[in-house]
Amino acid sequence: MQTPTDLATATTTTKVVVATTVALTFISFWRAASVVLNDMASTMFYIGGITEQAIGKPAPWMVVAVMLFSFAVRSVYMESCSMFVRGGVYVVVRDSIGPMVAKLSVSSLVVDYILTGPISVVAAGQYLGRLLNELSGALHQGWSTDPNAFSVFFSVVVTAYFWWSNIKGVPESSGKALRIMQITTVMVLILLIWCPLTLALHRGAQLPPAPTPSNLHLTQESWGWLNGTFLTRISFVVVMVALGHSLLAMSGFETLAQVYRELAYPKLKNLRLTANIICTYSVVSTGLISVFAVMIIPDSTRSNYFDNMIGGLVMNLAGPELLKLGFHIFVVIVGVLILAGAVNTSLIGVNGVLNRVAEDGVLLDWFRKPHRKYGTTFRILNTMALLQIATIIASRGDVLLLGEAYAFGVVWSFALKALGVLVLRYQRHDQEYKTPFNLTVGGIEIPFGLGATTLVLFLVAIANLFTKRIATIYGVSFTIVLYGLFLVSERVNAGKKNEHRSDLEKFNLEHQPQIGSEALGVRPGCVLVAIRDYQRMWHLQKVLEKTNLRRQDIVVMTVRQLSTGAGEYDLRDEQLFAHYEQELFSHVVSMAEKQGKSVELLVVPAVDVFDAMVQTASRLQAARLVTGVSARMESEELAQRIGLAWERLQSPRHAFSLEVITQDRPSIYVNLGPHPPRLWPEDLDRLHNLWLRLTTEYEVGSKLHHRDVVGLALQRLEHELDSEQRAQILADVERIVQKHE
Amino acid sequence: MARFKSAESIFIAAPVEERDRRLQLYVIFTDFERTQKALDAAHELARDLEARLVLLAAQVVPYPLPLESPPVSEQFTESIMSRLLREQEAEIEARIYLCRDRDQTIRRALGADSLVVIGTRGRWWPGGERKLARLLRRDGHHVILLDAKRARPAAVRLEHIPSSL
Repeated sequence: MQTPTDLATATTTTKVVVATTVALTFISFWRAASVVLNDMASTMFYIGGITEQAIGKPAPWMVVAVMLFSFAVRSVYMESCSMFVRGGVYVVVRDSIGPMVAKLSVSSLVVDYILTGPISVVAAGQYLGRLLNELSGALHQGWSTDPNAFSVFFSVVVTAYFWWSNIKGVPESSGKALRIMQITTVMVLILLIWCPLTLALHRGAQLPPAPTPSNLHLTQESWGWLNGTFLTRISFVVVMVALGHSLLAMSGFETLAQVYRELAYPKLKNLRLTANIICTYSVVSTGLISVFAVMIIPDSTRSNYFDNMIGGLVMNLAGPELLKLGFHIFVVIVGVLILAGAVNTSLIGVNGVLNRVAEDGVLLDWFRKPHRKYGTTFRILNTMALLQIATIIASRGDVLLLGEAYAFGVVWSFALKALGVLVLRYQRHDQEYKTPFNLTVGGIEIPFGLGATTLVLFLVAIANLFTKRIATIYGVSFTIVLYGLFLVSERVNAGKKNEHRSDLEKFNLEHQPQIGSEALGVRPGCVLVAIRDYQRMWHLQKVLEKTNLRRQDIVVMTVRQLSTGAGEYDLRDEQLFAHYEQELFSHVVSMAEKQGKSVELLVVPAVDVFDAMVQTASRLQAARLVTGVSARMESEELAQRIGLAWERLQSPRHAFSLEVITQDRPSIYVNLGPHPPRLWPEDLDRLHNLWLRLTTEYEVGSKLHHRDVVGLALQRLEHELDSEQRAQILADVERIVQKHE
Repeated sequence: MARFKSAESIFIAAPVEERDRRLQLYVIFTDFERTQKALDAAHELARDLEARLVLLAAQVVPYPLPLESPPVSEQFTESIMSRLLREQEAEIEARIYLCRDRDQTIRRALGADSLVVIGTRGRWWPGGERKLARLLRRDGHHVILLDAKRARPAAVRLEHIPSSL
């Protein structure tokens, strides 16, 4: 538990309190989509060239096919998110299949992250280097640079810059992701308008050939170890291998698992919107632009643009050269922003993943030692940055080589994630969303859609294993090294006792002298939910589902019962907030996050539980106090005791409703304090008839109102309760109550 | 301003008599040196106003990381805060918020109509602190921008002093 750290100086009574709290903000689906797309959309800059070099002219259709397949992968991630498994592929695979395979999945994810940086920044370097050559040519300067050498130099500088930023812990604003995506979208929109215009002017442009096995021309390099075997003649194998060369277009989904937790209510609906926006944007940007590039750039010159396909596309658009050059500069700026940003994301991501496995004891603590000056895990960052720089130098600026290596990590992490979700389908039954196409045969659900997606991913992963030689050697070697490191770390850490439970939330405790709506920052009319047992919180679940936060705030309170007299002394935090409360509120926060709603948390120390609930409701000016059913008393008795506590409040007493929610029965509603009664229909009729009689038969006059009739009846009842007729009246009351039962 | 609440602060009602209800003077953490200067200036102001000092630090956690796992360890940040505050003579509370957006978090963490001190670099171009100050003023808070390059402990040069004080 995170508690305020008290430091008292030696010479004075100065008190210093330092406390850390997590400020969770729920975000819209637009912002969530922009965060994920910042990672995923960058592939549009290099996927076209890589796939066409690997499989020939039908490449754009394979890219489109992969982008359409991303809808299926999206469903896998949505199902995983809906089970509220915090963390990405490592946690899913660990919980479903086991720690051994989870380590393999982390290894492939680390390979993914290590290569994300180099391929992105080398691609950015290629775009920039070739633009500089274009500008030099346009300005008749005569100098030029070797794009490969330039991209290596540029990549090393950018990687070093982001390495240093991460060592210093320089914050990266989340608003930047949104701005970069806005600029990228402008670029995409311009292309989506300009390209069709160009095609309309350049009549005779043809669509790329269909991605049939006969049209897919895989090179010897593309076939890898399968070259010369009979498998190259099997159409299905050809298609799988071709998909394998295109699949890296889909990288970036891992961030979706992270943003899900912070999606606003309604969570699942917003998750669906986020995922659909991501996939649709990717189909349009990555898929369509690849198609346009092949249609517009002539076959004879397109090979010159494999490393800067969008740049080449721009220079072949219809229009004035100056305008095209200007747009080319804009494209390169956008490309450098989004691709260089991917380097930063990869360093942050790999740091996060390795820290996560280190928490599980799977990585030596040595790696997590914080930097003396900056507090960052510099050893992990140094190692990863060195690996990235080594990869960049070894690649010599070859985007194709890096792309092939990158695909290894991407496809295996997808495949293992899908397998994990498939296993969890049978182990858990709390999925709020399931991948579509599920058949029920003999009472057993067969996840056809999920299974098919997993199968395709594994087939592609296996195809990659045999066709991408360098990627396989690099990836497998690295996986073995990393796996070995994890095993050693586990053995070394096995003896260390870890008492820290990382699944509990950390809370900042704020002492308030008085409970009030202003102090808590809630509006009057809130819903106050009283909890005590985290296994009996269905009433909180209902409140979270039903409450519209635009109209009402939710305050969740628990009462810390004190012995009589304890209230006279200052209580320490440990007496007010123990491990149980931390666990209790961790469950509350988890429930609230699943709904995408915010709640305020309150601990009220008190001798009497009912007094505490009622006083809190009164001070907060709550509209409703909600409790669950007590294990120790009937709901009616609970309501009565709360009602009596209300009566003990000092005037003026704030009126509010009490709702006792039972799991399998309708709720009990009680209005505390004076309130207009809900009359039975027959009583309403009786009241009206009496009023009619009094005003017509007895000619009392039109100034008599219905409320006067009720008032008179109440006055007479009050009088008779203190007279000889008391026993008769009480017997009548009992008869009426029994009639309700 | 969009309304939101963090679920991670737990309010504990004191069962005893009322405690400290003094005015709170907020200092926003920027970097060690500037914050030190800002705290010195705020300390003088707090003494005059009989206010309580609260240091707010919003630590941005980028998106690939879970919110509870900042790139700079919490213990390290807290030790920096403690070192900073130990040099002060006043009673100070430091609150560190792990967040995605610094400006939004600071805005939400402040009580209504707060008095805020921010140390700046004194550059002529608008930096992050000036943008934050602008946002806070728009929210109705009183913001004092302290030029840390020119500030001296005995005589601080302040850019803005709210007229209400």
